[in-house]
Amino acid sequence: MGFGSHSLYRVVALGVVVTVAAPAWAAGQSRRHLPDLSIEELMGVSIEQVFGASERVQPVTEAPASVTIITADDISRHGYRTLADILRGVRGFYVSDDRNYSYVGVRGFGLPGDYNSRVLLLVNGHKVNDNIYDQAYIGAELGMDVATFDRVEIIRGPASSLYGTSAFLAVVNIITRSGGSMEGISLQAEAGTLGTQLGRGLFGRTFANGLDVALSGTYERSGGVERLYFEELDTPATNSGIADGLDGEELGTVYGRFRLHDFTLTTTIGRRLKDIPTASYSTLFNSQSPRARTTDSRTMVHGQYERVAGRTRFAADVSFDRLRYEGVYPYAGAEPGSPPLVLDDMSVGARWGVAGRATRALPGGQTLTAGGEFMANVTQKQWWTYSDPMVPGRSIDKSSRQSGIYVQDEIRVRRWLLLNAGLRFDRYDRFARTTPRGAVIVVPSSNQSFKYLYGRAFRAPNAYELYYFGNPFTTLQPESIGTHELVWEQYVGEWLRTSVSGYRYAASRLIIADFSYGDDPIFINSGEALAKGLEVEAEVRSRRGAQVLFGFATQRSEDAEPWSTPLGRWPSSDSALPDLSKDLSAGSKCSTWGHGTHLQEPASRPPPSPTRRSARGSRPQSSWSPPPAICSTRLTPIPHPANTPSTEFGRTVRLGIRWTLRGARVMPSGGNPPLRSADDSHEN
Amino acid sequence: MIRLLRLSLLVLIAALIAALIAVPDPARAHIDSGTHSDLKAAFLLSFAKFTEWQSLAPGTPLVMCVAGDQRVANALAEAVREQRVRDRSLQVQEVGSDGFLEACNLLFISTSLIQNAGPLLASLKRLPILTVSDSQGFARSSGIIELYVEAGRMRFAVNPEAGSRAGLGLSSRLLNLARIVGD
Repeated sequence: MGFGSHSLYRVVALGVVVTVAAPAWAAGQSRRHLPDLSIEELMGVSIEQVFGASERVQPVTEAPASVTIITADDISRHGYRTLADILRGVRGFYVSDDRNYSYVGVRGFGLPGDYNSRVLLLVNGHKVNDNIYDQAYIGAELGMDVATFDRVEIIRGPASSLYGTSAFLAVVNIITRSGGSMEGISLQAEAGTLGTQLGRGLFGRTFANGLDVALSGTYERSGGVERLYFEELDTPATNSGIADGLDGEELGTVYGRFRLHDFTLTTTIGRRLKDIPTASYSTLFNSQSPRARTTDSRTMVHGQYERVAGRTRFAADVSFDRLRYEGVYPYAGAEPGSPPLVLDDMSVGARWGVAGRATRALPGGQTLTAGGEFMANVTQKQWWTYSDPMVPGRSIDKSSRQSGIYVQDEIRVRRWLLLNAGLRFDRYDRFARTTPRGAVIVVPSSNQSFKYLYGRAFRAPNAYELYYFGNPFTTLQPESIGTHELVWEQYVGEWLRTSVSGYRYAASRLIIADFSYGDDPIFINSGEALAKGLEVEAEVRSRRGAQVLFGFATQRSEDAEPWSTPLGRWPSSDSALPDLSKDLSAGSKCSTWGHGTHLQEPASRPPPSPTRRSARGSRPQSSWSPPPAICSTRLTPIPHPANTPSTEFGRTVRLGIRWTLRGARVMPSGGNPPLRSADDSHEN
Repeated sequence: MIRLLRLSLLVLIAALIAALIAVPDPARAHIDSGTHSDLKAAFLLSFAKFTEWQSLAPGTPLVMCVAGDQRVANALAEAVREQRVRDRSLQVQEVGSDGFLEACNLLFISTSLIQNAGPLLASLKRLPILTVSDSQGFARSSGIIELYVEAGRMRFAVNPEAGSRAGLGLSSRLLNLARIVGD
């Protein structure tokens, strides 16, 4: 990246100037008081509140975490198309993309082979990480349209004391739109570069009997980059390293939300097909028939009953989640000229869940929250077959249960002092865990706060890690993390927000893949890692909606154990903000993995390396009878998001038309469904 | 290098703390992001500006009542200072749900009180009182204006029929900005 210490000092100095001088300058400005604003202006005042930090709505300044809120307005203004786009612009989040799935690392943690299992993804407070890979889908594979998002809450730090497993590094909570907010019918059609076409229909209405209905359907298709060049494969036998028309993607989503009085039913259905141009996992490069392709289908049904009785708020949830994944991977046939050997790799995960919680205000300025949940993972099936019946496949059919109870108390000791403590007990079939969290929050004035946050979290081994490779060890335990964080947040009026955050994350018994037992990896508890960092952010918004975001992050990460590689190095944030983030990782040692790219600055963004790519956990080689053709071409079989630099599509353009039929009333701006746009777009 | 970095970070933190102490808080008491009391109070004031109390004699003061939320009451008292609405001076009163509400021209009721206030609100329906609450479903069930949060912004829903039953004139500007609901 070429950042010398001098430029580093310049960055630090700039950070000081912006975060310190701007509020000071603001102090000298005369400001209009809220009562002097017109009612239209009042409707433009942004409100920073968060649900996911404590399972109740509270101001961001009083939440026991460092929080960022992205609203529908932000999504519309930036033209975000996926949750990955949204996270890419968020301080401390690093998103990469291997032209199949998108991966997120948080504050220096991005483990090789991690399918986002250390970030908890919620939709309206309901967990949507699947029950095979524990994966938080963030790209198009999420199967949700960002036009149905009301806002996204990004809550940094562990929250296992509230949510149990996976709330390891961060929690991302998507709040979806109600019918009232999209009043009327809207039809949209868009076309753009990369052969992109999109059709979208939105309907929202609140009926006279109180029933609120929101419906949406989206179909999107993209040809992707027509010809992708891979330098490593530039030989005549492999089409001179060019993958021809293999970057296509197809996505269909349906969203419905129905609310009647205290009951809300939300359902999302999504199906995404993606061709894989990178010859991931040593598949045939540029294979046109069959193509390497993954299909992910997701269904979520979530019913919630919520009621306030006196000073107590009750909520009860019932949910069903299902994931079906299929990956088709063509391999070279046994002999030259013979048809390819096609691997069909599949999994189905289905889960029922019930949950309940109560929040009650108690004497002494206390707010007590207690709850419990039970999940039945009725299907956790992984299987694969080959096109050649002589090559055996395998099927692994499992099921499991998990449950947890938790309690959390917030005590307002003084008007300006809040104490927050939480504890959760989780029980799994094979182990149990107790996780605490604590916070001291000082709110000297209504628009700034200091927070000291302490938390512990765990992540249980998932079905993929436990069973896919036929792990001979049954002792795989949850990994854990302990964190300390100091946060200072300040809001200067409506237009300037600054935050400074220093943190120390120490993870232990990380679940990593070990290759020392043979060709297939075995997941073991081994890695330890430590990350320390400082983040400074200032955001300036003008009244007309212009926005400047300044971000600076420094971080140092190290592995405690020299032979494992719990810490991958992530590309620095490729965000909407002027990218001044600089990663100062001291680096990790990773001899076993043999990927020197761990420690490289991804300065020049090398072209994606097909041989290091991997799709889903497709493991064609199995220890009992591997097909010879595959063995001879085998490379590192572990999916490796950590050293996959984020692929860029350059500048893309889209044009769209929108036809809207509304009720008699005009919605204020911001209530409109965002017309998505890439870097440049025009609305006709 | 690392030592220099640490030093610079320490300097940065020290500078921030110094700035924090030295810089007065410009927006103090402007936006209470806690319960957004200041914002709610500003909305209440706006609602009063866009409402016509036809039965109220010109020049008589407008009584704005707040039930069950001291923060909003304080913020409203602060907001109405030096403000007038069409030649009327403004008074703010904090009331309990069992208080003498007939004297109120505008009444804000917090969510925490709303559960037990059903019969009381029913009795107020035909009185010229502009009822406002941040309780979900308020405009549809028993009140006239409901404040709610959507996409990080404060919004409001209005039940015009309830308004005309109470003998209040709600301006078209207000109705144009509102989500309209029926009984």
